[in-house]
Amino acid sequence: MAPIVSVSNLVKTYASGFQALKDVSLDIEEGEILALLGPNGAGKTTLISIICGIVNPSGGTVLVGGHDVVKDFRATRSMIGLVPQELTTDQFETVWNTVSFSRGLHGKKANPAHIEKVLKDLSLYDKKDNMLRELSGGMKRRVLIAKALSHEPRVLFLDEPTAGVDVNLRKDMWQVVEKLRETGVTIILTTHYIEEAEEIADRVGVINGGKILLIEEKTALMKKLGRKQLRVDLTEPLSEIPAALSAYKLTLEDGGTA
Amino acid sequence: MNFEAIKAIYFFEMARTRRTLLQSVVSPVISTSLYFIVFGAAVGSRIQEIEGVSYGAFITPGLIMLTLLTQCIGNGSFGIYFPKFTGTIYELLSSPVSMTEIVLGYVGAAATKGMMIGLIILGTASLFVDLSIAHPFVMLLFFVLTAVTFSLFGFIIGIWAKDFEQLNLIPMLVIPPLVFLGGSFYSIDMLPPFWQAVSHFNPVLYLISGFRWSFFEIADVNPVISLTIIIAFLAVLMGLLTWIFRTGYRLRN
Ligand SMILES: Nc1ncnc2c1ncn2[C@@H]1O[C@H](COP(=O)(O)OP(=O)(O)OP(=O)(O)O)[C@@H](O)[C@H]1O
Ligand SMILES: [Mg+2]
Repeated sequence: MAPIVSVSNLVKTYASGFQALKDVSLDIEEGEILALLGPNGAGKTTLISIICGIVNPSGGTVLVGGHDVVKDFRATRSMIGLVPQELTTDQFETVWNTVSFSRGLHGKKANPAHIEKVLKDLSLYDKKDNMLRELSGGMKRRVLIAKALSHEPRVLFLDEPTAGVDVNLRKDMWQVVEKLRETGVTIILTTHYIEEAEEIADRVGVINGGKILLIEEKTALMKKLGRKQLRVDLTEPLSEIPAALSAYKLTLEDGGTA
Repeated sequence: MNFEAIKAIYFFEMARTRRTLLQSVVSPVISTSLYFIVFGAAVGSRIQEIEGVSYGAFITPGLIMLTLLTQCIGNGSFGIYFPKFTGTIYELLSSPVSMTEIVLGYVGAAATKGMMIGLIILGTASLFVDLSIAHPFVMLLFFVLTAVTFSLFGFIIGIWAKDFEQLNLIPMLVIPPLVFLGGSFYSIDMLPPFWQAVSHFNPVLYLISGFRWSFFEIADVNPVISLTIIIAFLAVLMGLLTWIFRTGYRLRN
């Protein structure tokens, strides 16, 4: 089966001259959950922004559902829902209006029943008439998710969905993600934490310095990274491993402080 | 064409207008009344008539234009600048909407709001002076063309502006002098020849003159020239906009 998202030789150089993506290629299969794992500044948001149409690519191509994201933007963007990393909201709008607005922007006829269902799934329904500025940070993030789901996307991008989210909400969110996956929606999320990738994803892509370092089935990746590493920080530097611990394979680092 | 998106943007913008209704309606009514009291009553009692039209009536088309220009530029620029400022623009950029649809939504809403306030000014003015409109269709043509053109102008300013200062620069600094020196409150025949010649470089003169002609059939310049000028300005703006769309200027990295 053809991949739902196909990125080939993607390059992005920002106006400042900074190269944020260096020849990225990546296929995403329909229906899978893919986690993009990488440190700050790795290029995760840049990659997503190009696929969604917010940033222009400098080179390479991106196909979504077989359509080019630049030439055939109407086809690709109708398929995509995006939850951005930053909490950006129209503070003076109500939850209901802002979610309905997103549906309209995507060319879909108003469908109050669908909006109601989305808001209920995200436990936002009782807040539907509240202005966004009256919501907590976690609720605002849920509103952004509701906006992204308002037009029934086939591919959903979640850019750091768990930033500023408490344990309960995180559980709820994974439940929503699971439900979506059951309906065949492809989900791509970014994260800084390997545990999170492990918890939810089918495949994990590791990205750093604008390059995809590896992309593998979660289980295979876990085997590789399964070797446990323990690092002990010491209050006083040691010059050598104490004799009592010499049976273990230990090394001293950072001038003997770890 | 993604009509649902145009509709969504248009009504979203109009809803914001509704939230600030009091401020958007009351303040132009108050300022217009002040103009009538100061210029119409105080100054007008000395000027009496210009080309057979009472001074109060004479300044009405100029006052409507002043409000229409300021409102349309303000709304047009704010509508697109605000999402850029808050970051919600990500949604527009990642939606299946073309730039044309974005413009139709934002400019349509800005022009509608501007025209609503223009009509309120006309209503307020008619409380102070006797008004008759000799050519209602020509009047509407000027009214709508001006609203659309200057909302579009505002939209371009909103895309160009990097901060609130730039956003306010043109509406605050450029438009009032052009309107005041564009014959809102006098006929340019009343100026010395040198300043008459200078005035002809002021595009707003043509707008006000044409608009006033549709009311009283008196004009500083031929109304056909006025119409040509505004259509030419509209064409220039459309050209500029096409370039912005093609390059993604200040919208997409
Ligand atoms: N508009 C821009 N202009 C110039 N450089 C940019 C721009 N946006 C991002 N960058 C740079 O591109 C690199 C990748 O940024 P990106 O936002 O894609 O990282 P990220 O992986 O999402 O990081 P984080 O985990 O912090 O969200 C960074 O070095 C960043 O400074
Ligand atoms: Mg990011």
